Amino acid sequence: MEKFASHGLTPDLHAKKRVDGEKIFAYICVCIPLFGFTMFSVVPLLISLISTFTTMEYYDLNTMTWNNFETFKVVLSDDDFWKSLLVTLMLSMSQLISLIVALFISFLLSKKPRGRKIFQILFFIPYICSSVATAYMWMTMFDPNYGIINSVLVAIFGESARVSWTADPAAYVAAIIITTVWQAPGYGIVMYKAAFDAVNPSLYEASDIDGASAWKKFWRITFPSIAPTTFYLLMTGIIAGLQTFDIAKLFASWSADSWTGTAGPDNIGLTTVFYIYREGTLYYNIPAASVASWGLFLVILTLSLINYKLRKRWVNV
Amino acid sequence: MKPFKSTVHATLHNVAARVPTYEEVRERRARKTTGIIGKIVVFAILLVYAVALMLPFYVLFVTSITPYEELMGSMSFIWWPEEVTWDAFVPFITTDNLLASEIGVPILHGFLNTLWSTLLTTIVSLFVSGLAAYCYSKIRFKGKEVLFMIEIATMMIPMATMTVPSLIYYEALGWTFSWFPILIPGMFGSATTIFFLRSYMASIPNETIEAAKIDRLGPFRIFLRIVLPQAVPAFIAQFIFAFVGGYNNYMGPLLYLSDDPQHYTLQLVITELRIFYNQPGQVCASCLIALVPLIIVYIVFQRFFIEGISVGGGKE
Repeated sequence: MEKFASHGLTPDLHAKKRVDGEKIFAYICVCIPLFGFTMFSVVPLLISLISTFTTMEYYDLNTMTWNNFETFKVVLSDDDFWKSLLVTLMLSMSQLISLIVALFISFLLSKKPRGRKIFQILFFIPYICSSVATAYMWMTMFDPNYGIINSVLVAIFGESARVSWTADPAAYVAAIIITTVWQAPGYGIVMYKAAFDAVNPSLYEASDIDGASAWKKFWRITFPSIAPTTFYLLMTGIIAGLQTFDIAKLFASWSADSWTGTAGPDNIGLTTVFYIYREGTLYYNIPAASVASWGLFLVILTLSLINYKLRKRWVNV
Repeated sequence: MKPFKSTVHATLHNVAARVPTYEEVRERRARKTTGIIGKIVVFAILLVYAVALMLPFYVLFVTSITPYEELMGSMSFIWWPEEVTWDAFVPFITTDNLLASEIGVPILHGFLNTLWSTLLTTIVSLFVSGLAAYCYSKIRFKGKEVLFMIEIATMMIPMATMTVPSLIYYEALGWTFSWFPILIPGMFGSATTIFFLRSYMASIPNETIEAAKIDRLGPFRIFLRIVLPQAVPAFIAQFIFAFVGGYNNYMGPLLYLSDDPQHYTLQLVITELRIFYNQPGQVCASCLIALVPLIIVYIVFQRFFIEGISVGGGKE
């Protein structure tokens, strides 16, 4: 009897011990990513926040001195900063256009045309291209002399139609927007595919019997079903648009004096992140860069929270 | 309503098949023809869009095989050069070129830099994320829900906006102008990956894990031998996604690696070529060399790309 009891007891003790080991293992594994987040996100965030209230030399934390909100005054009275916000909003238009393109193309793809699979594969390729390659291929295409776009324009409308994409501010903005619209819709097309596939086909059959027009069918049936995806894409598009940097920075190399921080003719390509980059790396003014970064940070954080809340509500409904 | 009525009609009068009226036939024919025209229009628009999307790749290719003199003297686009040259591709394998001789190694070196740095970070990050995801999905411990909530909340912090201000932090650590800011922060896993892998691992049956516990396998071995092999598709999806992000990363290397040509990643090499050497042919050739491997990877693994992207993906 005694033997039996001890036999029953031993594995139980072992099991308990093992479970504890498992828990310790779990705590370690779960805390590694959180530790990384603290070290490389929370701490830099706090340091950057502190720096906004100070003046500092180069990147030296020891030289930080309280400056009575001087940095805020300087940045908020800097015309370049306000202009950069306008430029960012203007370039964000490309995200809106991309969304419309993605919606239109996805709608056509949902009609199940021949070669649908191949089209879908092709349409995503621009999205995986690096911003460097994307910018340079389009700068080659927009080249005022040997570029294909001016060639086509001149061939159709004559020599007067030659656009100086590098020097005319409006043309420069248009070039950046076109480049973004070439690249960005791929993401939307992939996201929309699932949304279009999920539309209940019996709704279409019912409306067929009622003799609804294609236009009516789209707005009454398709559009409500894909609305959550559209909203999500709109929000992620705005967030991506607010952070526009790569393309703007790369296009800036069109100007010969781009090393001085010039961003295209009249600084028309100076987005907010480009402004932050210029303050931080060219003028070594991290406090000013931090003020602008924190402004952008709070705006994007708010948008993400709205996106998350609404998406949760939609998904749950 | 219509079909219902007709069946009632048919059964009542015991007629074999109802003959469609003239109006009905005409309407059906009209619908069929608009259907065919519609299909052609849809196909044509998609085809035009596809050609427009692929055109830049053709321009890249043609420009890279056009001689420098022909390109510079031209006031219009050269659809095909009079004399094809492959010179633009030479500096990738030899040092017989301004930039390459300055670095002391062929430009392909940049490609290798990109490759090892991206692979290292991506693999470590995936492993760390995988372990965390396994713990969240299969191990019970106190405070799990709270910790997971915090982990998910970190996804919402737009750290991308803080890239430049983080310079002072890395300067304080003594990491500026080194590989560390590119490699280390990424090695601690990513919340999106944990989220994605956790939901995938939840579908692994608990019985196999319980059986392994009876065989006295520790949690780490269970992860390696049971969970990891079963979650391979999810890992591939996340791997590809993270790899593309690292391969294409521009701002990080620009901030931390642009002072030393030995450290140049592929993307930096291309920008250097453009800004300091201004050889359009070489820029286009290097863009092609950067793009082609990724496009091949994409076409081979495109199923995984789509999977990775639809679950809270998107590049930074």
